[in-house]
Amino acid sequence: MMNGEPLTILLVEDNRDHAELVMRNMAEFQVANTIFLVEDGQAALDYLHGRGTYADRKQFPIPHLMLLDLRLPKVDGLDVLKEVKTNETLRPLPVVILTTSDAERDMAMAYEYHANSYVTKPVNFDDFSRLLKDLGFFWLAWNKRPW
Amino acid sequence: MPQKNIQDDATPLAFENIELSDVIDAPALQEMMDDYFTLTGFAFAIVDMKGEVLVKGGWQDICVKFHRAQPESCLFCHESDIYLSSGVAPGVFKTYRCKNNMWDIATPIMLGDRHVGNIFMGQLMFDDEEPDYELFRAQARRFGYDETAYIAALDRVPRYNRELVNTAMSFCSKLAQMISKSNYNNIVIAQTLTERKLAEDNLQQKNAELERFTYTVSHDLKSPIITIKGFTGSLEKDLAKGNYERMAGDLKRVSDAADRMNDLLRDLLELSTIGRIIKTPEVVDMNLLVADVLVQLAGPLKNRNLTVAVQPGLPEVLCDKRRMVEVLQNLFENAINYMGDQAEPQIQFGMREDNDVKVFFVKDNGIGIDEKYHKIIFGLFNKLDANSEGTGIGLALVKRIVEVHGGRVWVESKGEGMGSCFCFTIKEAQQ
Repeated sequence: MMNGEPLTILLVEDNRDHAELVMRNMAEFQVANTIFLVEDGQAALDYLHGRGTYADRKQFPIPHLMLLDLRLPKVDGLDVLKEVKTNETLRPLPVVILTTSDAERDMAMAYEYHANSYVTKPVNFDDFSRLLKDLGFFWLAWNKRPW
Repeated sequence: MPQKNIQDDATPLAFENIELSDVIDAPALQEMMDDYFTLTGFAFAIVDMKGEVLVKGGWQDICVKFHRAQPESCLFCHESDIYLSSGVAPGVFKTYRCKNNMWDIATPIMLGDRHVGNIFMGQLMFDDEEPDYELFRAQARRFGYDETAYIAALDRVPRYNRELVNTAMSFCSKLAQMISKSNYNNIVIAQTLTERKLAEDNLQQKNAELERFTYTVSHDLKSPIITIKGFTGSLEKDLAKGNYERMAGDLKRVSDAADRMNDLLRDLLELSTIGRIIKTPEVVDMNLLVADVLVQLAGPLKNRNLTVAVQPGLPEVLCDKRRMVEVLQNLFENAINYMGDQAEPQIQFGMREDNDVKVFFVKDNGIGIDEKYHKIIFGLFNKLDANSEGTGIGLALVKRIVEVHGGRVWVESKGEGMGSCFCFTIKEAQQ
């Protein structure tokens, strides 16, 4: 955004309605050029490691931000987070947990595994919009990153 | 404290199985009684109800080298230890001639109201009587002892004043009562603690289960609310702007989310009733049960051109019939729904024996399941494909029903494309 490079978000969300809400808001504020959506934890890891369907890094670049739901099919969100933060290459990738869960244990575990931020999906639509706008601008425009 | 059952094992033995050796610290008692022997010179023994000698000291040659050394006379020793010493009230002692004609004195050791052993003193003669040498010579001949050596051993047997012996025995009797009482109390305490520990573990397990349940439910019920609120918010905006094109789609999302909440609530209700309203198990013929279930599934089976091969001669099982129907229904439906594009779809139902345990199975040659998902598929509302039909309660329901029946359920699959075999155990009806 600062220097005109295409900015990408990896959205890991198994609920298609919630994914649509995120993408609709992100599109409205034009914070990212591309949002890749994957619907389970295994697909998220495959994408991040450039495996299988996601082997082409040009088409599927390492994202500038990951929005990660927690309760996911196949591989749990916390396990995805753990793997990202223990991987030397992927570690700087900002991971924002975007979840319905306000369980203290989830939040504690997420920070234990070095989540960059933990936010719960607001029920109110205006709050939801504002949250995504703020998140997008902060992590993609203001935040400095190594790639 | 010595009690191996109390200290070392997680669950103490049932009272009726506890033996004297389980509750006394034999080496410590041995040391104590050795001192007693040094002090008094009285031979002693602590013997359980099987005639096993746990603690002993000061035994006379006549007993060790003759009576107990010869099998036939040794039998007399055992009989005397067990039978002649019986019928004595706690805290009281009995003086009797053993079957080999030595004086013995016994006092019982009780556990609650169970007689578990005796403290003996004896292998002695009283100073107010002369030994009947003829009787002992006859004994020597009968059991083939060296007569001279035997009589010499008899002469070495100490002779005591009756009153002194009675005082010593009164001491032993009180000691026995103390051992009895303290051990009994220890066991009662240990059993109470064990029961409490079991109850606590059970409660903890239930709490953890409840916590997981609440977590899942709160998450899964909140999801549709976010959808409903999110899209109604979006609809309001679009309406204000006169932007109508995506309204129908958004309204459908709202409506579907409400339906999903409804489904979740229905399934939760279903799940929550299983643990409680399970009927008294009845003997159910598995052959008939499977046939019933397959009739109900005739539609979906026909749609996919599927038949189910059922192994003949299945056993009878003990179960809540309605619940077992649900188990089979869910497993068959999964087999049908996850058949993939298999050109020759097959489903089998049968029973095999693993180490004498009867294992029922629903086997298909459908899409299969990667090993890493073999556990999580049984979790409440867990689905491998987020967009497949249903709430993801089916296998959680199966698991719960099978477990309430005291069985186990698991899946065997070599991975994707390799088919799946869902297995469960259930109590077999006793013939």
